[in-house]
Amino acid sequence: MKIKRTKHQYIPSESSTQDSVTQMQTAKNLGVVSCHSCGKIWRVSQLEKKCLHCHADLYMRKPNSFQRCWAYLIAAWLMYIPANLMPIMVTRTLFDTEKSTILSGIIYFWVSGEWSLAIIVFIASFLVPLLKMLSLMFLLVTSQYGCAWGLRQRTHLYKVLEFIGRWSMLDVFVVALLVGLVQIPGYASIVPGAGIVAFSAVVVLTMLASMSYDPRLAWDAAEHK
Amino acid sequence: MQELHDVIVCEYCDAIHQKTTLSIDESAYCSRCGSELELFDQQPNLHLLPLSLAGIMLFIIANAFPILEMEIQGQTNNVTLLGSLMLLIADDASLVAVLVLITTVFSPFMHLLLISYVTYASQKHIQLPFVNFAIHFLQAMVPWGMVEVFMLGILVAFIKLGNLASIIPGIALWAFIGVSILITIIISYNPKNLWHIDENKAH
Repeated sequence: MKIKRTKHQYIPSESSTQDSVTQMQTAKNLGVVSCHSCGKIWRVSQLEKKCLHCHADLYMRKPNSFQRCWAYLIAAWLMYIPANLMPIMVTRTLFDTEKSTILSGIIYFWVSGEWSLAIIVFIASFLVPLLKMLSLMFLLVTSQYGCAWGLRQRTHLYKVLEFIGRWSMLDVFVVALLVGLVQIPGYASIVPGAGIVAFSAVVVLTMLASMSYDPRLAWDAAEHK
Repeated sequence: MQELHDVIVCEYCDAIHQKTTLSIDESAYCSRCGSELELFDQQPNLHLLPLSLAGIMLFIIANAFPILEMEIQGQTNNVTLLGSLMLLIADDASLVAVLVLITTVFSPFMHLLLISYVTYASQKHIQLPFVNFAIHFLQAMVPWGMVEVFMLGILVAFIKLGNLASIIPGIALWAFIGVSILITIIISYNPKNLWHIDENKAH
């Protein structure tokens, strides 16, 4: 399918400046709000109203975006420590008990020659959560200081984060399947460890953090600087 | 409160744009931040109902039959999705069980069910209750559906145990592959457009 890039025209602001950030009129400055649920666009006199089309709450920006995002993010960092240090699953065989952490699982794949799998699990379980938390911190700090640098790139980074966060659930699913499958009485059994509980908390908390971040605040802050 | 019909607002940077009519295969991008503003509406809602009904049927198979079977030392053991959730709860990992339940069972199933409910109501031109609630709930549920990640999880588990025992793919595995393909097609139709199904018809 061929996708043609067409650009919408923008409404020129009356007092247009040459600054690259403020050269475009925003909905907020015009007192216009778009419904986050159905996309209808309303000119509002005062806020705290509901969309007339779908009855969703209308807001210019996600409420308490910075505070909520920081709260989820700090909680995620706290959970990140036990998630990596504690075993995600425990394998009990006749002879011994083997505890495996996220990193030891990746090393196991690497050593046993399954390189492609080691790389997939390394990206999904180790790199994605770490980079996601670091990137969200970077986005929050730059937005809160009103940094005007790389606004387009930062917006793009946020879209990437929204897309990749879900893939860190991979290890949770693998543990759930192994626990269900390896239950051979008197031979071998796998039980979940405390690490996987902490790890699933990390995944949920980082998803909630990225959902409460509002990329429009970065543009607002750069505009008012 | 007054509705504006001739403008479109970028949801990533809040820039306001004059609306232009798109033709087939065209899409509009924000000239400030580069995000996609809107795609040409191909009105695929006619396909949504049969696709989601097929998805529901496959989904039931995917949950009722074993995903993988393992044969070791003459003993066989198989895993169904709900069976492994039971074991997680028994092993004090109820939080993980709830999360797996939401991401692989509840969210995709609700997605399929509510899409078929809403599109059925609009195709038969009947007023069904809770349609507004259904679309709101659907939009909240979509980010938590992770069937495609679960597919990769099955693959990793398959290879991980493949060295130790012989693993046989079960019926549910094929059903899950079908479900994730169908959901990928359905999700390409932005749930936001469900609010405007009846409008497009009126014009």
